[in-house]
Amino acid sequence: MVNIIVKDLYKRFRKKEVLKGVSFEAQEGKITVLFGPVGAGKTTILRIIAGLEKPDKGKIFFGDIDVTNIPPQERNVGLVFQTFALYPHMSVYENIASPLKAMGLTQSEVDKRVKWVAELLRISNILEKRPAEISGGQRQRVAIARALVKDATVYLFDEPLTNLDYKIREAMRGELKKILKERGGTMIWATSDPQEALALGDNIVILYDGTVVAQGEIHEVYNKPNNTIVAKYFSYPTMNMLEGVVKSKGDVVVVDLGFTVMEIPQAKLSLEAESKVIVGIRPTSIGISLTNKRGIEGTVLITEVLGSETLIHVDIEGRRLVIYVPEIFRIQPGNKIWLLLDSNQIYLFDGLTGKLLHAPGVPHG
Amino acid sequence: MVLKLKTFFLLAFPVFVFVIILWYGIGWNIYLSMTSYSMYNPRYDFVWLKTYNELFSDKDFINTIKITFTWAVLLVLFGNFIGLLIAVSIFQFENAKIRSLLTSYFVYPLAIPLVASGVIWRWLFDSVKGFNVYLSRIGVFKADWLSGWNALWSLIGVSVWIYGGFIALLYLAAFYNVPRDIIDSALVDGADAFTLMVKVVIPQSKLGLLLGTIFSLLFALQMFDLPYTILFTNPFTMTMVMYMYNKFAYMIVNISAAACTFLIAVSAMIVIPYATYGIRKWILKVI
Amino acid sequence: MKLNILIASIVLILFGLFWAIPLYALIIGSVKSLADAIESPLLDLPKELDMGAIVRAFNLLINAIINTAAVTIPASFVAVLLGSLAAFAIYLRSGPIADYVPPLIAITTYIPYQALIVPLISLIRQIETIFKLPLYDTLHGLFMVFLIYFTPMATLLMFIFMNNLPREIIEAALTDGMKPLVVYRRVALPLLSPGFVATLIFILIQMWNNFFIPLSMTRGYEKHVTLKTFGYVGEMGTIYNEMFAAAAISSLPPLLIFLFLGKYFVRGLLTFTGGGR
Repeated sequence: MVNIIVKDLYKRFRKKEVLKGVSFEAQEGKITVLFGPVGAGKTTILRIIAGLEKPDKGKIFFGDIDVTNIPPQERNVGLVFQTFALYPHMSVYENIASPLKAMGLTQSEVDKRVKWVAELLRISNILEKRPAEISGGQRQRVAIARALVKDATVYLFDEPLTNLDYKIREAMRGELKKILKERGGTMIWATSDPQEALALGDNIVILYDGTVVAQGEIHEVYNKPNNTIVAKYFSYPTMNMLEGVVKSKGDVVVVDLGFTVMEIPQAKLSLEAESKVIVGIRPTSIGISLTNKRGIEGTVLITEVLGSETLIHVDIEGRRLVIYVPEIFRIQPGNKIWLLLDSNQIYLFDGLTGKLLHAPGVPHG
Repeated sequence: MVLKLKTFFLLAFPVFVFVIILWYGIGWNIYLSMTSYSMYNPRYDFVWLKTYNELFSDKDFINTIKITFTWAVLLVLFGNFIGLLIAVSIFQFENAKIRSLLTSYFVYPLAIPLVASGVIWRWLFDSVKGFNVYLSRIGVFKADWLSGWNALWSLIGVSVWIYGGFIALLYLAAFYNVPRDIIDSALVDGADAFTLMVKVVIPQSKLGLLLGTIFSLLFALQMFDLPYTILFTNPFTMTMVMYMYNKFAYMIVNISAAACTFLIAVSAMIVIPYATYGIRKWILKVI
Repeated sequence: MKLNILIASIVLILFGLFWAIPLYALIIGSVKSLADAIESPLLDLPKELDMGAIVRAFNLLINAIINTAAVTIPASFVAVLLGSLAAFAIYLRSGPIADYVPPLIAITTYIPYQALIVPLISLIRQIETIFKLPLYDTLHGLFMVFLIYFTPMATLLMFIFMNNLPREIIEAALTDGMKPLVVYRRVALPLLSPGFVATLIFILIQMWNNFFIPLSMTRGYEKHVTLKTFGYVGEMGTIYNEMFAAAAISSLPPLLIFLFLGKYFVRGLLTFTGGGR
């Protein structure tokens, strides 16, 4: 097993520059999540690693070997396409066996491996069927099986769960983590879903506007997002961002948010008075009170009930905050609601550059 | 680079050889047309444009230009008209099987060798045994289908029969390409079949008109088998290809090559702008 | 019945009847007896069925038919095979090659093919002298010229069908570790088979029906069935039954292929023109 090193990738399609200098490393044996919004260039990067596209500039290394000019059929990469790309004219068995046959393994060896990976992905009962005859979730498992069946230098997953039913997606996440760990190997998993990333990844590389804006161990990056972009995209639910003005002098940071003034004693910073900051508050860190009327008063805009959780959108003097409640909670729009903000859970970002100034010390649930 | 250059050439080599031969042919035509080479003068003296002078001074050649040009214009007009009519009629039927069956039926003349069609039509045009018999039976005029200039009109009519179904096919392909939601929203707005065709489908089918015109022009420029079979070297139906072949058969190679070059130039002017633009658009799916 | 269907049906019946006249004349003309043919006009039904004309025409044509089949069937197959390989190579290579090579190939199919016959024949002559291999007026020479003319067209058609394949399936085959030729054999070709067959039918019919190329490449009328049919026109004077029988026999193979396999051809052609929006 080797590290996969991506160095300085540049790629443009017609007039649009998609990759503007992307560099990162995927550690051997670990699952590295390639994270970014739709269109950020994740698929392009995976395709370049697989050898299906050539970068305008930059190199790819598998360990010490520069593979940039090696064609895909010689790179020994396992790739799971977003569209699955199964061979419609072959059975599930033949689809999975395909990379092994290309390697020239004996029939019995092929049979052994196919049966093993089918067992792993729980698709042993559909081996004789054609792709057209099975469900979307099953096709995705076949696509993953086809990639995992060989001993690849690196396994690449291009948002394989995106085309699936929401419910199936959730169920697959836990199962997949087990399967991937059991298989072992260096893996790069592309997604735009923060929950998926957190569930599956060991490390993360965050892509935005064609460059890498953060990389590292996944929970570290989650808990200490180095700027507002990372904080906004890589959070679930999305972090609330409020503009504020620094009102402190001396040791304690005091921020005026308009509808309230917050003291943040944990922030050991010295900030210029009147400088602009952005305060980040996770929807999970806001408490609500209805009867006691303690805290900041706001008006409910809408509530989104998602499964067994609720997001409440609240308006406070023209500002909008989202609060997360881990149960089904209904409240009518227009009702008053009181919010409790904990200064222990506040993130501070520079108002101009967006860079992280302070993050809460204790990771929260 | 998915495919190494070496492997690429290995796979594509034979085709490249053929394509290069054909391009070489074009070049060689141009060269030959500027020499004095013929059976009577087997020397490759370079005479520049003198051959073309000879060519365009030949009354016969000018005649063939007129005939071919007339053929092209009329085939475009009537071929497109009848093709569109047939296509619109077939399109009214929703069932794909019926459409396919009808289309195949009207295309059948293209499956028959043109020589065989020529045999049939030569007899249909026969003054004694052909159409005239039946026309006089119902009291309509009799025509001398193949005498003088009538021959040209008759043969152009035959070519409409041969190619009309194919042109209808082109229009149908264009109709099928009209996005379904445009048709559906027109229907929801209450359009009847007639309005639908006139206001929605036909305007979207400019591609069909373009293709129909280009193919008709190409068919007219290549016209040889039909007139050669029916009327052999009759001057009223002599197309440019027939002229060229005539010179070639008599080994007057340089004039033949000059006529060929002229033919190639005309086709190129018509087709290449549309072809390269069209090919890239369709094949590469550039949106 | 809706008005549009009524009008459409009338139009189609009218055109349809007219369209059928030549075919009708061909069929009934072939089965008329000699006396019948001398007396009765073309479109009158035969007084009795006489297969004599067909038998005689068949005997005279059989040689040419065998020659034609021996040349066109392999030639069309080779043309489409080579064409599909080249199309596959261009498709995989992508980049500037895929942008500029297809138009260059396309141009060779658009210009009137007869216009290239003069240089082609002189090239054939030169090869004959260099390799001491007789080509003019031979079946293998005809085979070669058919290949030269029709392979580019086959390449173009296959390229269009190839572009309608989902690209990712081909890419999956590559990442599976298959070499390009293996990808072609195991994945591309099976998926392309409708297009392959459509192109094959198209090219085969074109070669069979071709008149000009055999006319220019051979002497006499024996080497190709269209030449032999043409030969009848001059010879038979006012007796049309045998001439029609000959025309019918020479038309039968392409017509039958078109009847039974034509739906693939039409379907294929519709993808061809509907291939891009």
